[in-house]
Amino acid sequence: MSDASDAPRIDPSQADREAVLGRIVRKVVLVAAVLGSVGILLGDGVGDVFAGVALAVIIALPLLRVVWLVATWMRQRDLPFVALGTALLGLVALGFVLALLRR
Amino acid sequence: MLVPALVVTGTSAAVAAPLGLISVVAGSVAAAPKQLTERTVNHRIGVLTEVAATSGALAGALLAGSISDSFIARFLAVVAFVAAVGGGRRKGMRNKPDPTLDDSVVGEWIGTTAGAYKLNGGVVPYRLQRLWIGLSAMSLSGLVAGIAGIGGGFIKTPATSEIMKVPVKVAASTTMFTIGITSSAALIVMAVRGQIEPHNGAIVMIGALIGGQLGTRLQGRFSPPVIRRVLSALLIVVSIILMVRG
Repeated sequence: MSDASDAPRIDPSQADREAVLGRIVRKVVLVAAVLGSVGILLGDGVGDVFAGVALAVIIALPLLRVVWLVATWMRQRDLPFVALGTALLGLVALGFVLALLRR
Repeated sequence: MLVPALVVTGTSAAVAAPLGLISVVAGSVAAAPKQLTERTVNHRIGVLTEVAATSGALAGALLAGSISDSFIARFLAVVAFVAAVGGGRRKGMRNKPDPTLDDSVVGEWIGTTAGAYKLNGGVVPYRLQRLWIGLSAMSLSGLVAGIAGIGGGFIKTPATSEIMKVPVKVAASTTMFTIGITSSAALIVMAVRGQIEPHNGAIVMIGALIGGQLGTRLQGRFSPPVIRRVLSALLIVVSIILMVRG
């Protein structure tokens, strides 16, 4: 990894990609908010299913964003950061497995 | 803030912890669209520091139970107070707009932990400094987060800004991104253990989604020194709450 004293390498389409990702996240958040609100209004039973789906969507989003980043960095041939992103996802998976084993 | 408030009002820590993490992840997700549009998140710094923080969190989760709650609360209080004093004492802006740069360099720079962001019509370049000290602080934040079941943002933002010399706006946005990852990973574990109650979780989620949107809009209206002073004041409050709980 170099630093800012080098001439910056910029991906000119990255701003557009991030704007698209931002719009997608905004729409998914809106859907989750509607599902969550319906779940709260319906109460126990069916309401819990709606609330559970809303929560699952919100919980999955940050990890899906890391997957998206790894794919983007792969396209940019930024391999050190591809390795870091993959390591991060691996650590999250390791934590999940450890928790399952200690349950 | 939610977990101490719930515990103080009589909710058990086991019930409060997942609700607190839901509020963190929902706030993080709600803030994402605006931060992505403004390009204030440096994902490379976020992922780099999050690897250290998650490693620390895993170690912390394994250590949890062997350290007393009272010690953890007092330790966190001291960390929050030191972070508040460190941020509050600094005057002016460290990273200033560079008139030779234009909008084409805004964002993160490929293969580096450097980048630039827009501020008051200018472009401010920055680069991460003191990497190893910063990563040690992130590991520590992960460790205490794993032990205490908190997001750790109140350690991560000052560590990114004051130790690694990243502008506070970029540090705050990047921390917002990373605490979403930490909380998401912890919530998956809690879901497997059946610790998440969907109805109350959805109520907290809706509140945090609204709060996250409002917070991001307010952040865009204030200068970095103002944000830093507000952050310092909040850290003092957190420090007092933790000391009282401890």
